[in-house]
Amino acid sequence: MRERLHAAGWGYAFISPALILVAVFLVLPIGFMLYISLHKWGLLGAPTFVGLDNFVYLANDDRFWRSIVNTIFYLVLAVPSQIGLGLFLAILVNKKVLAREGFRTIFFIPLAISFVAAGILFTWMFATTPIEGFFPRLLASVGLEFPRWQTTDAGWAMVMITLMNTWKSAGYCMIVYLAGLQGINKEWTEAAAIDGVRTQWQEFRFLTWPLLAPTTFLLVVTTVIFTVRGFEPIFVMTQGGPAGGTTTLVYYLFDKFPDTVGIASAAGTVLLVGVLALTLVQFLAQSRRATYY
Amino acid sequence: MKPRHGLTLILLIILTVIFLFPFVYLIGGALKTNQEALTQPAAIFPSVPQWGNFAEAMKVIDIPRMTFNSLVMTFAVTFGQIIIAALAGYAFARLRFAGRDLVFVIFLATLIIPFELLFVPLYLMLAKLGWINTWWALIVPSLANPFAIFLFRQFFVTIPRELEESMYLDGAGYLRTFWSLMLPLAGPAVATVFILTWLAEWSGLLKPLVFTTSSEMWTLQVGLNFLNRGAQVSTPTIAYLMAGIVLASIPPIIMFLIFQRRFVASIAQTGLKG
Repeated sequence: MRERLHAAGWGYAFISPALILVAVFLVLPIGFMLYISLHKWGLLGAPTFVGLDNFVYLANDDRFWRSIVNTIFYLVLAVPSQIGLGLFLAILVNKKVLAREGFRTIFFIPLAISFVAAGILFTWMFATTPIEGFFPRLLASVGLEFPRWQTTDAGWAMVMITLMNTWKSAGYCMIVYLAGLQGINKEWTEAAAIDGVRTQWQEFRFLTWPLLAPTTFLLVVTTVIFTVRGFEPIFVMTQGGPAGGTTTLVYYLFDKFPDTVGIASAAGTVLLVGVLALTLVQFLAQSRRATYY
Repeated sequence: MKPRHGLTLILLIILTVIFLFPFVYLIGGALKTNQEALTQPAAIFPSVPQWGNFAEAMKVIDIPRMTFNSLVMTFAVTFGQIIIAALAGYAFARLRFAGRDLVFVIFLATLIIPFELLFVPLYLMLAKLGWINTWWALIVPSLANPFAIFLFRQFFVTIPRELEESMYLDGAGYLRTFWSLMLPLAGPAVATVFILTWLAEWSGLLKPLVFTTSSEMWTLQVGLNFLNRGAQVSTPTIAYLMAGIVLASIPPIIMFLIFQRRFVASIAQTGLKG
């Protein structure tokens, strides 16, 4: 009995630093955010209770709805492109080619560069205003016009952000897929060859791709969350522009800070509900998958 | 099989050129004069390499000071997280106490809370404490990492109990067992948390951007962002900006190359990048 109490005492002692930090800097702020979302609060002065006014404000704010549409647009562009390129890279570097370790490092190393650095660099390479950068001039030299993504064309602005994000993140998807590919049994490939799978495309379509489904699912979940959270790429490359066209939900929230913390917190609450829903979907899909296989 | 691999190699070389081009253009741009960077963006390489750009960039923004700030914040958070998470992970894996599993589940649930929404209430709390623009704001809120705690717990669960029991028989307490047996055994978990946290802290912009107000407390990322905004609107300092990016990218690339195997292994295992 004394022995168990002794262990319990040390147990509490060992978790107490983590417990205090998680309680104060993760759990408390969430409660506080819900509280602020029900108040009108500038940075100065006392908060006044306004009920759901901040949420009503969001519901009536076109920019807020556009930010949700923009977030979905960004997801649709960014998630398939990094996963697709990552899969392609993984299949290539999984073959026994010359210097494949070197190729892996090359595709992976952009992950070490910060989003700030990569965002500035890509903005400069693709710049159209005030002067034209490398790629617009390259296109101009063959008589084509580069899209005016910095001034008028928000759709293309999102494409530029996606290009940067894909360059930086494809290597991450490649590594996860490589782990998945190495889990595929060689005997299955041979058995499939006997069953009439002839071309590389057939092997990919009927063997590799279905077997990689759990990996793809894991990647979709993680990249969706990272993309929804993406603040730096947008802040650095477009600041939500042109004309609010790349303002995602996270950027909208940042934009409302610090002058209208109540509205920012209401937007944060919506974002939290969204992240919770995503996690729930992930959880449900995983448990269904487990019984399916 | 031969010709197929030939095609693979060609594709890999094309992709290598695409992936490396931004780096090449960055270094080329960092070595141009500001005038040349502005008027000759189509040229990849400078006509005359301006090695002095790195020193000049340091005069425009205080890069040594910002590097120091980034290093202090990054290493403090990384080491703090490792100690705190390893202690908690050990307790969750090995010590029995009431409410243990409930607390662990709550910790896991906090994993999904993104900092991108947390910073609003955190800012108000830190302002109340008077911590804005201090080291406290940059370090303390980041010390608890539920993901690191989870990783350590999973690692400690796999270690055979016999090793600890021989320690207890020798009269060692839990603290000594943790410190001189379990923590040294947890090398791979320590390395995983180290590289993931180190890179995330070094690269992050939102936290230092929001929690600092004066340039003495800025990290490199905030400084680069500031220099970028300046370069867009007023003075033509594109080459200095590129030089600053090169300088700011050297430490993480060194870290990355040192820890590459660990980094790759941890991503392959967890599917997460911190």
